[in-house]
Amino acid sequence: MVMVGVRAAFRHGRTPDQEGACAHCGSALKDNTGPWCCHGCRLARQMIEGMRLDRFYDLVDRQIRPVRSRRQPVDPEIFDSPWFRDNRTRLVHGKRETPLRLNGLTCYACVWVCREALRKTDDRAWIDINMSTARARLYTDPDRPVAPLVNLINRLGYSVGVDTPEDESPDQSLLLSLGVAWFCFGNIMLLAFAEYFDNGSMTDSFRALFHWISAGLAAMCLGIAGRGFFREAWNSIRQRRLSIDLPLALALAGAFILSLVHTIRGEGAVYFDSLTGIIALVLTGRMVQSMLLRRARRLVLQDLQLPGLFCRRLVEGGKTRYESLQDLQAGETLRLLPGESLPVEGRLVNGPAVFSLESIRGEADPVRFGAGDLVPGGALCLQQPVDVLALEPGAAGVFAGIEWQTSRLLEGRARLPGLAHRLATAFTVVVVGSAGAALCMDLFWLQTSAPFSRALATLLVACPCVFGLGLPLVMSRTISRGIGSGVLFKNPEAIENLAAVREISFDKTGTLTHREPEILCETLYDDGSLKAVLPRLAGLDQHSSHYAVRALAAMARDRLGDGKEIEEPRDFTEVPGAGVRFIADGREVLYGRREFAAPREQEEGTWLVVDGRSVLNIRFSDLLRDEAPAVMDTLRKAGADIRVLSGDLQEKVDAVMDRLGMDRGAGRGGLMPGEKQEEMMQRDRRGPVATAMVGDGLNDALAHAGATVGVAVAGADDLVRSRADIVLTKRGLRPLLAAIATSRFAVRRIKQVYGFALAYNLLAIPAALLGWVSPLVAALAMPFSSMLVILIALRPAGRD
Amino acid sequence: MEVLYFLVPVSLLLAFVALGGFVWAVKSGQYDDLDLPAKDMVFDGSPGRAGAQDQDKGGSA
Repeated sequence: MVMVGVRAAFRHGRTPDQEGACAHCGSALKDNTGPWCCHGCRLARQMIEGMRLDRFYDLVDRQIRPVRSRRQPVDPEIFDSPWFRDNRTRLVHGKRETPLRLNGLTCYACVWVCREALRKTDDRAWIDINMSTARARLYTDPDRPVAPLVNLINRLGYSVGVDTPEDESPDQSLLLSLGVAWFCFGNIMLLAFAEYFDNGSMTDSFRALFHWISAGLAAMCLGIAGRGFFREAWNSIRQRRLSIDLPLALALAGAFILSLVHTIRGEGAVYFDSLTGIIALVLTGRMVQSMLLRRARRLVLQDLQLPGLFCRRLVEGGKTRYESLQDLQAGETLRLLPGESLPVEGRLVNGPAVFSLESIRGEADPVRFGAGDLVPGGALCLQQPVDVLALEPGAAGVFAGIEWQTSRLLEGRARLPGLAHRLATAFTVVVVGSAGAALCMDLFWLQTSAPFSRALATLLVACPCVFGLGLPLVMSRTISRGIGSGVLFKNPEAIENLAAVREISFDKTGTLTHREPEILCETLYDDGSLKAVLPRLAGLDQHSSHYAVRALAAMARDRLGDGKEIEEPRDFTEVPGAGVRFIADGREVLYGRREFAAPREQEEGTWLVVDGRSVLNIRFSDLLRDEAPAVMDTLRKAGADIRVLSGDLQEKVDAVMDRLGMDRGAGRGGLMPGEKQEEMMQRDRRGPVATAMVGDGLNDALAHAGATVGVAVAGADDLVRSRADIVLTKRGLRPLLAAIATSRFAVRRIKQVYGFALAYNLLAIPAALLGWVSPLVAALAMPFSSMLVILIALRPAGRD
Repeated sequence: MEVLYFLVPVSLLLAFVALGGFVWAVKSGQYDDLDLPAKDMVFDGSPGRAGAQDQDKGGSA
């Protein structure tokens, strides 16, 4: 019924039933081996058709993500482990409630297919999915395992992750405050209008009634909605720092008390309308900002599987059990599956095994360990499952350690005081100062009958909405712009700091370069021969850890699908720098460079040749990111100082510097994580130079915390992304340019908003000091100035 | 004009009823997910709760 409309709604890409598009996700196919872009999409489509849920493809109205691009789901057994059951689930009306995080939901169809598939599988279970937060709650009978259901969702192409409790929504209280503030403001305004347009016919008793009602509403507004301002103001006094909430709280409290006194006395002006209006507008600005910040943080979190939450411990009988990493003791044995990182330092029990140390040391090449070898914490298991004897307790492991060190660094970091903060401080000093001066003058010198009214008028008209409304709006706009261009700003300070950055340090492996070359395209020449040798190819990576071999083995496993036997190739030899040779099914197989494997072919690339027949050609991407030289050039032209800090060998760093056309002196190799951080801190100490660190690995986490701004590129380790100030979500380095441009735009806007505030206050404060500001003027000036601030903040880009 | 002594409090009372409704809506999670429930209505079958209707379902927020 909605077919026509939704098909038209595809903005990019194609629909799944088009030629050359994946039959599940609709993304363009890069080879000619079948209507699937990846094994995951094939499984998902088969599942959906098998359960007769084809309607999914009619409901889809946004491009779904290819299954291969999603995060590796966590092992579903986690959800059935005793630890998880006891600590994370609860019983609700006789059902077990398991919190989940669903990654990859893009539209209603995704929610629909999950629920329907679940219902068809187990009619006693159901799932509540919140599409805005990507969180879900699974309700099952308490004694039934949830792993099969979780697995079902995984196979549909939505990877299920562990829901972290800190993601709970605190929006409710802010929303309640906002509702109360606007309620009070609106009703007080109705009553106040009657008084403003009074032509002298209003009797005193009416006026008293209106004032008393307004006083009640204003008290409610202050007590419920304005509590946050007073709390923050009190905190700022206690910690001896200036906060924008301080003059705000002073103005609110002063205005309320004075108006109340006037109400009781039955004479004098009341400011209930202005004070509730300020609360309503400022809260609105904060609400918008908090909503967008939460959205940005959620986008960071949604793909995250925080390491260091669980480990798989080996128990009696060769079985494994999930436990909290915190409870892991030294001397216990862990099992690691390929793709998992070792959480603590350990000794390899069964070997040999290949690990990647890229994340901890920045070395691009995988390292082979034998049984009994010491494996450093943070090493990524690449091939078969391995058992490792833990040599330290989980709480002392690398993840816990980095987590602890970065949080300590982040707390103690001497960040540049932001422009917004400095201006707000100056503003606070001027406003509170002039109000205080007016008060002293009235009290001691002029000894007027109403000594508080001028001071109060100053506080009230001094345009607190610039800070309360203007800044949050500029920040909100920047954050939402960032989300659109693949940049997630996790806090407002990051925006200002990034705009001020003069020196940018890059990590090499995984940042300037790909973590390892990726398959660009495959061209299949002989399907039959490929199918015959596939089971052997799938076992190839047991013999060599070269990236090309691993990529081929992964591809073979992908094609084979689940449950197929993987066979060992025979007579395996590796010719370094050329390729590999082995026997499969009695046939000689060559795989490697063109010169080695298929000298007769014209096409460059890596060739797979079976018995002299060219079967498959694979093109790998260049190691250096394509856009890296151009991005570096743009940054240098914009006046940034660029350095490369790497844990990899110095000569590899030099090679990259040459390719980038940069001075070798700016590239330092062989740095340990702590040394990287030292480098960053030295720059920080040398003077007020804002520095940025762009990186992806665990070895950059400390440097991130040591820099003014830490930027994590797409594909960075989970821990790095969770701690960085800015996270890029689109691949490559170009989003960094977008991030810098966006932040500079934001700072220009902040300056404009403050320029307006300055001009306005140059008029308003003297007027207030001269006693020209009546309640009516204050009540008119406030929305007027707020409106102007909103217009300046949200003015379309382009003319500045 | 004395009728205002009656009308103003009555209108305030009404306003408080509306505010109460808002507070209830926020607290019961009506604003938690602004996308899904709207679409559930449009697509027939109301899939998610179908298997759950006979059971007491609590704590959805």
